[in-house]
Amino acid sequence: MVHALREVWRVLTAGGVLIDDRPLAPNTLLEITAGKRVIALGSLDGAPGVPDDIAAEAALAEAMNNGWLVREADASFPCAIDWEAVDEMPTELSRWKLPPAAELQAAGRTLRSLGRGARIRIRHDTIMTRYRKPPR
Amino acid sequence: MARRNDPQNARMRHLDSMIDLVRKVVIDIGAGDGEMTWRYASRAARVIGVDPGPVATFTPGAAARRRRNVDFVRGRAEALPFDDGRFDVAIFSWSL
Repeated sequence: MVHALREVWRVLTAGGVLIDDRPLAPNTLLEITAGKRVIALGSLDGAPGVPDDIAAEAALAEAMNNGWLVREADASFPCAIDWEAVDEMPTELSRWKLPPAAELQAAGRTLRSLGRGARIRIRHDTIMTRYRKPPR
Repeated sequence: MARRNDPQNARMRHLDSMIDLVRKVVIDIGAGDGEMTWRYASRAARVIGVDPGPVATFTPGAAARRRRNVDFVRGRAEALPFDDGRFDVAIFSWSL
């Protein structure tokens, strides 16, 4: 990751900006939505994503120590991804531990019973941080 | 639409509060299917999405497809295939 940040520093103009946004591991919810109706299916364990977050923070700290980037601002906010069907939920969710297959199959049956417009979603907090490459 | 990334557009709203992309040249590192790349292109002068895997599998709406300010390039974040100082903004979205 440090090599990637070194490359970002290289390709940015002096005074250019890096935006890093990523989901926060805690407080991630699995839900079914149908119109205004929300059916809570439980929370997702974010433990699988923690090592990646620790590595990213370490790389960013090194980049700042090297003088490549200066941290300027951050914000956290709720965000979501949703799908029409349970089996569409892809490997991008590898940072969370999904419920057991039997629970997902039950969720799929609920989703199908609600008809068109029903969706399954994960709702998570995101943190967005702005860094700047120092001007010359 | 099978998958919707951020259907409430929260990330773009917060991105707008962090930086004005108008007239900026942007690199989207780890662009994935390119869905967010197209959204950045609605603001920026030019956006290049970079990803080591198949990119641009996302099909944007007709209005977005008429834009000529988006390109996708296969590449790794550790060896970006661009000259020094080419971009005003770099974005890692779920990719650092």
